[in-house]
Amino acid sequence: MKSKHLNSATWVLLYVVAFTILIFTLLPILMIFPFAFNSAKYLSFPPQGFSLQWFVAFFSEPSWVNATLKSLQIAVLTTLLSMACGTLAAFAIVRKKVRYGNTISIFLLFPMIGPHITFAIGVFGIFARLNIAGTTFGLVLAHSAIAVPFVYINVASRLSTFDASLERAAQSLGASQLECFLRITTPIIAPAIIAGGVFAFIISWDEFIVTYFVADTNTQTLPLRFFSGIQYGVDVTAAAAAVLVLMALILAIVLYRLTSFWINRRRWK
Amino acid sequence: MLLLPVFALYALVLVYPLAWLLFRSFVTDAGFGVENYAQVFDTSVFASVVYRSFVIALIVSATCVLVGYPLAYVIHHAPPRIRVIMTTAVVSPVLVGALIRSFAWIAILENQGIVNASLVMAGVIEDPVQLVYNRIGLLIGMVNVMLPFCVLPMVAGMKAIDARLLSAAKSLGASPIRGFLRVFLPLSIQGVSAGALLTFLLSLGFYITPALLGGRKDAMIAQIIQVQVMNLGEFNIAAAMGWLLMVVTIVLLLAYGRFFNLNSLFGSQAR
Repeated sequence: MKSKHLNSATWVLLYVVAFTILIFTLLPILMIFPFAFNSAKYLSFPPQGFSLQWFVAFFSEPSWVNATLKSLQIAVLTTLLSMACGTLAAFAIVRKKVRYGNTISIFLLFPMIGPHITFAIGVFGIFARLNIAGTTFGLVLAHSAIAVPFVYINVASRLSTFDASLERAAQSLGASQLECFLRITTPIIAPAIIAGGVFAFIISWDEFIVTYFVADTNTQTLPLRFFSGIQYGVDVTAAAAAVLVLMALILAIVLYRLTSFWINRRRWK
Repeated sequence: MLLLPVFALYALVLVYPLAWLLFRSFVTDAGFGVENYAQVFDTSVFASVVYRSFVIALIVSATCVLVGYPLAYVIHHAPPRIRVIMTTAVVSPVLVGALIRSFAWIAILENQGIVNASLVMAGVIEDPVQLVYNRIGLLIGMVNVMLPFCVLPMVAGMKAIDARLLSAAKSLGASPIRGFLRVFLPLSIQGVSAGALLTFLLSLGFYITPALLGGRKDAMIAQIIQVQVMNLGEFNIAAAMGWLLMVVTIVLLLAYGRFFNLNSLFGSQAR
């Protein structure tokens, strides 16, 4: 297949270029580890020796632990809210074929590419007026608006590609509408909803700029704590925090893979 | 009916704030007018930040396209197993987030960081070179953060190309290079445009990386907006700058929509 287009020397060169670029994209993630396990008192290279001191520092500092718990709470609530909103919206656009569906679809996806700094100052002003600035509730709403597009696009693309005749077949064989929805539609779109949920969780977990404007000291999330640790001079505890976040992400992705595997298996039984 | 929850959410967190912001951007000391917008372009500090932001966003998206195209090309043509590994390597940094990666770049590029330490040890340079808290660090970090948003749409665009066209070109006697230049490259333009547009828009209003890796002289629009709101309380001028970003976004989206299907801009991000 490849040799059909270009000769092999060109391909070797292209692969070398591609791997160099991949290493460039992964470099910052890989470099976090030597910094986090470094026994020196500051960020230095090469690392002086192995130590868990920065992890100890992370767990003995309440502001880091509290921020982590707050981020977790907000991310879980955001995931639930955006899964509900995004899935319902996908049904409306793809299945009910509402009028101006295409325009509404673009509108729903707008938070993905619109300027987040502009959203942030707008939300900052409105939340102050509505008296929900600095509340967990307010942050969950703001995060959900940013996360909904990811649920919506996953579920909508799944809904528009799966064979609707399956549903008609079930109904012609005597299944009620509810039965059909629960037994046919739900299992088919569940992986897309879960995938959207995973995206929503990560969006909320990483969200910085809107939170920066809206949160107060009681609702400081992990990214905010992280930012304040590295904004002026570098607090190496941040490297340990980054490693912990990476571990959590890997765990989340493994769980997601297992869940979708389990759902797929159950469907064929 | 099913759209009610999402519309309620967007109304509260998106439409109402943006509408109110638009209103505030026209509120001036004298009453109501376009003075705030005029001030953005007349005041040399603001004008230079706006200009600089556009230049940086352009450089970043151009670099991402140039660097990302060969990578996207290899991913597109790679055997399935390698393609999955490479795609994972491109996507995973997005999940980790810009904050952690920018932080890592500080540690890498610092005076005692890996790059300077290696160069000094190898005897290439005597003293560490300033690589961070300036334009170089900012650009390295931005390209690193934005690259996935450029590569993924390009791969998606290449996937949509009909492979039979290339076979046809070949059987009609075109050399591989000619086939690439005359058939593949022009057909991959949609993906390239989507990647370049996404990268440009995200870069233009980006806060984290410029704030962490840039120097005092490299401030971008988002940083100025943040200072105006949080430190100076100049909300109206910040609102004008915020809406300037909105207008640029909407104009570029409409321009893209004239040539390509707007939905193609989002499709590749889902995976």
